[in-house]
Amino acid sequence: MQRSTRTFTVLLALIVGASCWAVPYFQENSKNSGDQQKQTDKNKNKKSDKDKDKDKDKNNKDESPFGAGKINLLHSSHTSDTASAGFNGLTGLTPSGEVEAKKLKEPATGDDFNKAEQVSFIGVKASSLKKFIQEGKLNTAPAKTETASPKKS
Amino acid sequence: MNKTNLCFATVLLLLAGTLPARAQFGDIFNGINKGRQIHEATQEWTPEQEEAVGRASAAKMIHVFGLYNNSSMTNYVNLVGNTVAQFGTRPVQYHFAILDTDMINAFAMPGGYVFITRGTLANISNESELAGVLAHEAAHVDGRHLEKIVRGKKLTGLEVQTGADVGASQVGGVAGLAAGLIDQYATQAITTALTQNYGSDKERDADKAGMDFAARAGYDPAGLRNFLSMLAEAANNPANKQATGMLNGKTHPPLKERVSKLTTLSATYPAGGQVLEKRYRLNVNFGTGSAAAPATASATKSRKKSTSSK
Repeated sequence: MQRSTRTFTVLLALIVGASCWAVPYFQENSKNSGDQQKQTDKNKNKKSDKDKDKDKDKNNKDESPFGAGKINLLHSSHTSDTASAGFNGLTGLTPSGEVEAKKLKEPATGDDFNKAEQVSFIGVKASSLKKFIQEGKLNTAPAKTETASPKKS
Repeated sequence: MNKTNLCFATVLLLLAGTLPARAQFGDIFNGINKGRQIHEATQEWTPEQEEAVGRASAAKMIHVFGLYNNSSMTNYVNLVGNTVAQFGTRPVQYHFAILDTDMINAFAMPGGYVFITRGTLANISNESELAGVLAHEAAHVDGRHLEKIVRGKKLTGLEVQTGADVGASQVGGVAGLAAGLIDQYATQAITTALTQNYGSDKERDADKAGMDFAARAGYDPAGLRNFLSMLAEAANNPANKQATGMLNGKTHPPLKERVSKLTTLSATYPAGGQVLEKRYRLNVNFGTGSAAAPATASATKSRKKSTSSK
């Protein structure tokens, strides 16, 4: 009798314990399936948005309020060391002019960070700016608080 | 013996009872962590934080398009940019750089990192147009537009992650912002700048404030309008779709809509202002290596019509 009571108690405790562990697991799973559903809905919406964009483009073409579109834009030369620049410097863009999703997801490299650091040091000397403004017969802003110059790390 | 059994059962039940508490504590810790991140998201960035996010965003922008290496042209763009940016309302150290792409666009990152594309420079016809474009971007920085969008996204809790979840090896943290969070902000900034519209209110504000900066600096206030007017016509040519597609409706409101609003806005300013076509031509010259498709007669005619010569 005593032995069966102990066994029953142990089993009961195990069942209670197991259910306690299982609850968060099931909650997580149901959350994930909810997320998946959301993702599917999102994809569906994206598709319908694309269709809408197509219609929009069609409407824009029909309106043409700025003439017949005879202007050819100028293409300038590009630097030889830039991998992104192709034959006409529009590599990495979709035909509609958007950045390819694959390119957007790529992380910046160490070289990109070095170049960004170089950009962070770009600035103009106050004397050069003053001269430039005077030569162009432009205006200088009234004096105000000094330009913030955060420490470069 | 019965007592022993009772004790044993009690201990087992108590142990079982602590298990849900484990989950509860986890929730509490997650809540505290999210609360901390929401608190960070509601705070306006300090100059150091803005600079750190701006630089990380600049690295990503450079990764996508490449940097155009021409120190004299970059210096000229910086002189024009700083001439208009000095009329901003808050002290920011601006860095203007040129992206190596024929796409027509310009981007303002937090911390005063402003990018203009090589394609934009090739199609601008005078300094007042360049001033108009750069002033519009400086107005975005001055109004913390991208920062507000990025912080707003964090507040929705849609993309709250801990720093450990994202690759942040290249980015160092600054006071109040962990390295992982800076990397996340930079990713969001770039994604927003390259795939989304800032919103009509922010674009209208930037057009208005930008025109004000340019006019106060002594430039023809219609510079941006004139450039966009030429682009609106060019965008009707299917051959230009790839170069103008992003600017025309994707990252900014449609060109014709902006031209219309800018025309109304420019009428509120006194006529005149410097155009400086000659100085622009002297400083922005892509040389003989240019793979240029020459502008047609109608393009030249259209530009002359839209710019007041000075």
